[in-house]
Amino acid sequence: MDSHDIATLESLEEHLFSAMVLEHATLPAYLTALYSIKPGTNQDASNILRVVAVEEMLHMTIAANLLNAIGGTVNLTQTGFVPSYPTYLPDSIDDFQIHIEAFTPSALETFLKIERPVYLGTVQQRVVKRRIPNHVWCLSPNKDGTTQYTTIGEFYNAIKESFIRLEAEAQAKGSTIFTGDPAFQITSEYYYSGGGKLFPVTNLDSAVQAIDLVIEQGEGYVDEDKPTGVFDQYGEIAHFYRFEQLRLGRYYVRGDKPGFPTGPAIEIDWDAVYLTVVDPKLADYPEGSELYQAALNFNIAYAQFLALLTEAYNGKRELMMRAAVPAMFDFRNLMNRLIRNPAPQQHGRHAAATFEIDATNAILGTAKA
Amino acid sequence: MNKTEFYAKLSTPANDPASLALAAIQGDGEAGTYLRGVYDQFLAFSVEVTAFSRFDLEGTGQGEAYFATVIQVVGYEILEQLLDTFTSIINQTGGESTLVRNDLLRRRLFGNERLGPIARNIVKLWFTGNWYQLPRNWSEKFGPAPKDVTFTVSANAYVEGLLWTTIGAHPAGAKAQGYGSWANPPRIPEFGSDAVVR
Repeated sequence: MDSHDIATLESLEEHLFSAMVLEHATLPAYLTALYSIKPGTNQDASNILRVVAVEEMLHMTIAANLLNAIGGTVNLTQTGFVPSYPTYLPDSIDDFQIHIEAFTPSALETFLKIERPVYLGTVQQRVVKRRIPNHVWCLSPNKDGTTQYTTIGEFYNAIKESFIRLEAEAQAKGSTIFTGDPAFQITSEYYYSGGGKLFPVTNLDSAVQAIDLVIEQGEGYVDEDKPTGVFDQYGEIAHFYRFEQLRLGRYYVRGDKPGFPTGPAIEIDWDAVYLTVVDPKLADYPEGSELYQAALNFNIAYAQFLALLTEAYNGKRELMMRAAVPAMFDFRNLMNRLIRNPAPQQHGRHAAATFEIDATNAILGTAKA
Repeated sequence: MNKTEFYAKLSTPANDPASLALAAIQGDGEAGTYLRGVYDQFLAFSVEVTAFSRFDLEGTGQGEAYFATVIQVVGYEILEQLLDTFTSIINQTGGESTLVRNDLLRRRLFGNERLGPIARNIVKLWFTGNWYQLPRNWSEKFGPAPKDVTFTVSANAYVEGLLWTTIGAHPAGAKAQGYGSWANPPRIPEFGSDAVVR
């Protein structure tokens, strides 16, 4: 194995935590775009954004299961879990940044880059080490921030290979890396998701299956061995191609080649969108205004939600259904209210949730090292 | 577009009132400034009579639609008269207690034969998303308004009615609260702009 640096269990844990950071980091962007669409318009785009966001939440939970399976620690209240936007992803250095912004053509291009497929190249092309400028926020699985992956799929493939190798090494010594408490595994009884398919990760088979699910739902494969990368073996369409349908203005149907959808046409009304402040910060809203207070309240509620999720991932599984899922629906309402309010002195732009969670935790005194 | 043009366009069935109102209040020049001013007054009045904050009202996304609805049904002149009356009461009672202000609002606005039913209808618009047909004696006295029938402003206006927030519920068929949430006790939010999830 030469394609990565995940040689130790500790490094694998770091990568899995990065996977959670990564899956989560897409949510503020997808949800802001989704809720910026004016109600009753752009049904196709809304549906696609909603499905993708729901599956990202599922992927984050799968990453938590993987991390818990090897006895790692899941802590979403950790400083840096929610990045400061704009942000890079592990695979995106000097390529693109993710913004919190309305549903616009440029936002759609960013989404396509986030979900771009695993193009099979040489190992050297796939995994690149670069020195990252200090001022840039970057989600990197390495503490020193030097390892970058070309696509998210590559990132997960490196994780998968590491699972296989580390478990083989452990087995050779008569042990296993799957030492985590099975009672920490979030399964379908504890989590309702349109994407479904939550199973416990307790051994190598289930770990590999879980990782493959994330890759297939996310980016799909463009691979000679798999004649169509648009739909997976279950007839589900990967995120990249879901978004590509919006770019190309047409739905994919089974049998279509990537880039050439032949299904029903999709119309997008780019004007039926609330244009929001790009990468908004609390400081963009007048201090003491209702808008400021509502944005702050959102951040507090979101910080509390991440603390709750952390508990749910650490043995209190029943909290998922009882508290975490309803909270997601509250965020929809809170984000909608912010987005419908014009932000004063922002050139006619509307407000949006700022997701400044580290700052909020610092205020609340809940930040954990 | 000035208010005459705005009103003329509102009277054309093919036009979407909410988009027209949005364009009008975002317009350039004197006309835009003027219409923005009227819309601001409309929101200020709405805050006063619904007890919801401006943030909450704008958060429904329905402000422009309701503004346009009132103008479409009863005309510009009567809305301006209502808002001017409201503004003069507010100015007059600047340093006074709420009781004094409420008393004046009751007597001079809600008790006014011509303006009262319109004021009440604006409250109902925000809470239910419906325009309710004006009382018959109003129509007999002030002349029939051709568009004055009971109607729901839009499918989304029903969803965004403040009554749902007020009772801590969600509109049937919309704004679902999440799978399994029915196992939790209902949550009545604090009144006003409380947005903290509990």
